[in-house]
Amino acid sequence: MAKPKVGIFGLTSCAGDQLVVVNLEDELLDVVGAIDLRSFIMAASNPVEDEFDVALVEGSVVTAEDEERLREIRAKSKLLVAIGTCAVWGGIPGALNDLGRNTLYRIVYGTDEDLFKASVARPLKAVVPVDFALPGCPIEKHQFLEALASLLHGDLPIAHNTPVCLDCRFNENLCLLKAKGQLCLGPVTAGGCRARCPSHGLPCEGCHGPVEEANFASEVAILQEKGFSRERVARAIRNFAHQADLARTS
Amino acid sequence: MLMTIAPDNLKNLLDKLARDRLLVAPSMEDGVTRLKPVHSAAEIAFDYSNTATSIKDFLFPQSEDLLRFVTDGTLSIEEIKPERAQVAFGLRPCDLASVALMDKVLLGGEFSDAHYQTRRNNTLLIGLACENPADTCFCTTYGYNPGWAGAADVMLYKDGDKYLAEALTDKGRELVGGPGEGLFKPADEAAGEAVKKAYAEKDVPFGKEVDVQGIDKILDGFFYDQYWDDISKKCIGCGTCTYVCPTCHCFLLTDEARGGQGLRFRCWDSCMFANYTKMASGANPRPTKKERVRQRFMHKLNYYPNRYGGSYLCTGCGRCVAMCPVGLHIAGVIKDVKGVKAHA
Repeated sequence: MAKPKVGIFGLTSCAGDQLVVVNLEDELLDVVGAIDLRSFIMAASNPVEDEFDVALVEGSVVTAEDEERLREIRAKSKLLVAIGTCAVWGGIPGALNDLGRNTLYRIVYGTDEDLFKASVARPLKAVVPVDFALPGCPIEKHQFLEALASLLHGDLPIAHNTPVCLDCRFNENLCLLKAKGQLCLGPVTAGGCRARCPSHGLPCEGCHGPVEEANFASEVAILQEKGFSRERVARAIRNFAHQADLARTS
Repeated sequence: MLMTIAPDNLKNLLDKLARDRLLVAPSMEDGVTRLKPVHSAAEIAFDYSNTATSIKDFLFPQSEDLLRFVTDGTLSIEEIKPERAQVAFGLRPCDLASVALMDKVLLGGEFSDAHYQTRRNNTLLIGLACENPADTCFCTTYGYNPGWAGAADVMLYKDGDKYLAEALTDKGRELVGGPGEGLFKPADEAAGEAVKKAYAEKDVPFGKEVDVQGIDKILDGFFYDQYWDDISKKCIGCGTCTYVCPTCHCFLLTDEARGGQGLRFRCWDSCMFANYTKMASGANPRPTKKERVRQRFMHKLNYYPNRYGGSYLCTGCGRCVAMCPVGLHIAGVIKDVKGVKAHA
């Protein structure tokens, strides 16, 4: 069987997710041996971009160029996987979507000119169909490898819809929300990070974006009881996931 | 036969045991007392209400390797046995009761869980009666009490400047007569029985508020009640209740292979998560939080007693009461359901 043709791409982002792939170290040779890596400009020159079995796309859609590039990748790919919270939720580039790009141009560049033909930052799924989403800021190496192994077996990967709380419990951490009254987004955030921050006493900031079925209403209510305003909690959630649906919270 | 042991002798005994087996005991770090492996008695916390983690971690660990396999044309399998001897010290009556409940599931009946069986055989359980039940403790509603010895091999009761001790199993008697030789003294039987009685009758205030009596029968007709919709809205879906519970025992089997060599391991799973009942087709018979929340409480308070002869699958340890971020826990559900029924 021919090796699957794979492309790894970046839109507006820090390239951190692509860096995780490059930094696989122990597994990198196995990975590139198992696939036909046609396009990955972070690691290799002379990309070949005729068609892909799988496209892994990092970043959010901010510029007209991003949108055009994403549509082009989608058209050439059988499966499109969003990697990283920017691609899955809009991520940090969307944190200030509410202000609008014109305001941000003035603040950052001191101009009213539309320098980059920028829109609000959108996740890939707002523009094209996405077959699988692997969040993370950056993605977790072990989750990436598991997803890739599933794809190589011809399966769609299993989405691990468990919150950061699960990772905390495995580490037997003191609950920063319950015991310390901190603004921890663990219960509403997709886990798999092995509770990296709470294990060091820092509350979860939600960098993987919302877990499936995230109960924002309960999260907001419990944090309001602890003295945080709804606006403060909503801002924290929207920092990484502007698209999070907070409509049911009050 | 009742005996006594002085605190220094108890520490000597634990140090001696730590030399040739894994010693698990309450240990305090960052203000939290957890049950964890320690190297010597010096690391043990003796003053605690209960440990944040339970004995389940060591009889039915979070993650456990079961077998290795090689697939190079033929399949060969090598079973991994948890052979290391362990001694767990400082177990509270709720955890000692939980072991008996887990035994019914994992050892009773037609099939027994080989790994659990091996760990049970290799583990000596030393109980320590509760001097100060926490305000989240409610063991008494289930008929347990602060002196309940449950599955203990040796039970200890703090009695002034010494410990009253009782060996309850052959393993316990071997400890007293073997490594413990010369460290225990015979106790005055009458005085010892009085100490045990005082522990058994010790006040557990929260236990008085929670009356579980007859809830299994009430729940027979409660499956479709609106109550489950109402409380599940509050559930934040973190799964904490199942992971801190000393009696939750669901697990997920996983095979991981690379280059023809693989490992099968199991990991705690939780009925509170959507993937728990999700099938390969994508169908899920428990599609929303309502079905999952209902399952957890029905299992503890109705299915288990129906199946295993009366006992509830909860010992009132209070860990979920202390740790649920939104205060949705079994003691509250018992109170609610009894209350709803009383007013119906």
